[in-house]
Amino acid sequence: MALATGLALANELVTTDVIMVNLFPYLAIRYHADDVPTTVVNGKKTLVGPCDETEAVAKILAAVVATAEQR
Amino acid sequence: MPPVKIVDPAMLREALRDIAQPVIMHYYTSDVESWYSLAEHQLLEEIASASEYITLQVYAERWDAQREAHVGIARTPAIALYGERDTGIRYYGTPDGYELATFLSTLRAIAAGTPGLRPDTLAHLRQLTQPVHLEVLVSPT
Repeated sequence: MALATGLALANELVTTDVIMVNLFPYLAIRYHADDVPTTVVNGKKTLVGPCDETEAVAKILAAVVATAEQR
Repeated sequence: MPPVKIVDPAMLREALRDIAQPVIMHYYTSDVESWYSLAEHQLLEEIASASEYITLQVYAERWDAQREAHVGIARTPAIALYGERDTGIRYYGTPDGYELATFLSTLRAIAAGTPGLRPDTLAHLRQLTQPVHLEVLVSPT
């Protein structure tokens, strides 16, 4: 999660919502989040569970490209 | 307000003692109080009390779609974090339990203006040309 907030601090194009699923369980249902942390990128479930910064950034950037192509 | 302290004030002061630049927490909550909102409000008050550089502004009002769109929040309760600029970071729900430490870490990073990322990550980020919205679903327990 510190990675996600760090990305927002580093680049103004990035916005980060940190969501407590106990208060907003409908979001866990919407994103089929069976585990935490779950990271959603531009509406696409991308990461489940903690992972290395390099791997996480690669997956996030790939999701950015994929979601842009779907628009 | 709940009759007990949510967290140890000394722990908070220690965690935030290196902060030397302003951080503002804008807290958006319902105009109708609940035990949950009171506890969250108190936790944020305690955090703000732990550092002279941290300010809490509370907006306990009815949902205003125009204002919320301008602020960039999707629901309440929400905490919008500002340093020198709008950080784009929003917390939905109380960052207590396991999440309190990362919340305090985020406040320190905002004040310091350092995202705490590796150089190669920063290089990748510089290539972004379109908005990226991250939603991280977490649990305080």
